[in-house]
Amino acid sequence: MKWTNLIALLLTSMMVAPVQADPEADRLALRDFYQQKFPDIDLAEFQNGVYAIDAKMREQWVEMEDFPPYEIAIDEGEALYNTPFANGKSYADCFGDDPGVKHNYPLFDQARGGVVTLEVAINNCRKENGEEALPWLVGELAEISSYMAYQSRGKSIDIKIESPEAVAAYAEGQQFYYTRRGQLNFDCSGCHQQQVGQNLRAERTSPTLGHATHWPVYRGRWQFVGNIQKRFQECNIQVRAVPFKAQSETYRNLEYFLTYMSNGMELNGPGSRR
Amino acid sequence: MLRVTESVNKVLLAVCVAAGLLLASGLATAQNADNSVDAELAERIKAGRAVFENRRKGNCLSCHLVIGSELPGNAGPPLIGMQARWPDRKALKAQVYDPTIANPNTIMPPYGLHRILTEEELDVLVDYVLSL
Amino acid sequence: MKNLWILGLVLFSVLACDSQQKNTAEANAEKSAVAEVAPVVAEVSKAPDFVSLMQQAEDLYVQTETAKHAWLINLDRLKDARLAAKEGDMDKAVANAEEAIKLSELALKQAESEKSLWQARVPQ
Ligand code: HEC
Ligand code: HEC
Repeated sequence: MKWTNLIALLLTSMMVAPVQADPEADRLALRDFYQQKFPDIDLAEFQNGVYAIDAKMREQWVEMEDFPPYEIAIDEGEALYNTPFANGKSYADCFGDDPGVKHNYPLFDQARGGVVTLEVAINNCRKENGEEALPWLVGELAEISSYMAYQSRGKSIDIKIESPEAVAAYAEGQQFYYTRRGQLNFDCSGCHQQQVGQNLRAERTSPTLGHATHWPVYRGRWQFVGNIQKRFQECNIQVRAVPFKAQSETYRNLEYFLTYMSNGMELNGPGSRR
Repeated sequence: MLRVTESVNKVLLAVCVAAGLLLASGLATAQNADNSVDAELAERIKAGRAVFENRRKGNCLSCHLVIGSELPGNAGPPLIGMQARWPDRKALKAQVYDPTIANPNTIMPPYGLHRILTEEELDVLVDYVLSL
Repeated sequence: MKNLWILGLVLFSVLACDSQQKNTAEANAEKSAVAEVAPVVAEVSKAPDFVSLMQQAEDLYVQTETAKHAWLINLDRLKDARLAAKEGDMDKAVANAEEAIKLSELALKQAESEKSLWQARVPQ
């Protein structure tokens, strides 16, 4: 009797235990998925999001890129980046001589036991040097990351998922991506994979692949540059789900997963979108 | 002589007009009952259309084309000839209430199940969709 | 005996994961308004049933947050319920609280069924 109970418990706990995720297999499968959907498009083009699949929208966008609306943010960001902290140190003491480090983020920080996005790393650097943390989504932090993204242009995304803890963080992000949420009952893949390229009224949805290459983004609707997690919130709100806090563990894991899907793709941020 | 024909003509005209009016009014009374039903249905269809188009309610246009719609989406099939394709009103309502029953992978939201629309809204919506 | 040890470890880790998940469930929204409800409701002394109904609605909402499946509309219903109670419109207050409960139940059902459904959507 005792033993049957124990066996039952053991079985249920085995069912709860997650299947080991295989990030590289997932990434390759996702690339296959889009290559089959869009056989005529070079996957590298997906760094341009929806403009890779919509010629008319692309035309307007290319015109806009003649006078990139994020240029001011890059300049502001550069000035902020090079302003020393009160203690005399600077961002270079945290990031090294080359501010172009975006391709390494998010990374899994074994010591901190969690995912560190570029924005978290910038604020950690500030706090370690006695400065106040900056607001996450827009403003100075987005400007500093715009500058760092600009300095990282042309580098390939190089996310590493090496420890079991890192795999677990990736797996949580992946589960979040494919889980339906909100009163309208959508998961991220519903719009960005299943219905990719379809029109939702005036908007066309872009592929998951390439979603992480071009941040921060200047959005026409925002009229400023914002970080990727601002877009996460918007996509959650669209389906009438309560959004999560910027840089919460949920969104950091999501960003980790999403960026890994674009691993090996070239960075081209900051970007501009409608 | 000319005068006589003229007056006869006038009388004839008057008779014709009177007869015509009578006929028309008779027909109208005969149709009266039907008309009020039509008017009520027209009201419901109008209300249903509002639910269909409103972005905070059905927002159905974001995925479905209907004839004459502006900026329709194309994630779902165009909604045309509905009466012929959905002879069973209940089945149509069930599709809108919870489309995941017919297709577990659908991206169409479960409007009734998730209480996005009320029963009344669903009913007038179905009237509208059947008119497409 | 060794088996028992392993079982204990498995159970412990499952429980540990579970409680960690609770700690890290940072679903956003305004902080649950549980604290706010009590004084508001106290004004409406006529409605002792409403106090427990509202408490139930708030508790369920917090559960949806913890499950990371909270729905925006639920916040409106809870707010409307509180407001109506404050204004003494108990019918409206009860209707809104009941609606909030139904919404929470649906959100929790979504959370539960999605635990097994999501995996089928990952491209293989
Ligand atoms: C109801 C459909 C829908 C859902 C569900 C949805 N999105 Fe989006 N998303 C859009 C639309 C529309 C846009 C803007 C057009 C585009 O670039 O795809 C967009 C844009 C984005 C972008 C920016 C793309 C770029 O090139 O800059 C990201 C990143 C994104 N979504 C992530 C997500 C994530 C993560 C989720 C799940 C939490 C999600 N989306 C769920 C519709 C959706
Ligand atoms: C997010 C996209 C989306 C939205 C919004 C949406 N639908 Fe659909 N709908 C679909 C898809 C996709 C199908 C195809 C069948 C399926 O996947 O369930 C469909 C199928 C249907 C069908 C059956 C198709 C046919 O012609 O036989 C009807 C009727 C329908 N939808 C009505 C509505 C109504 C009414 C609304 C608004 C209350 C609505 N839909 C909103 C995506 C959507």
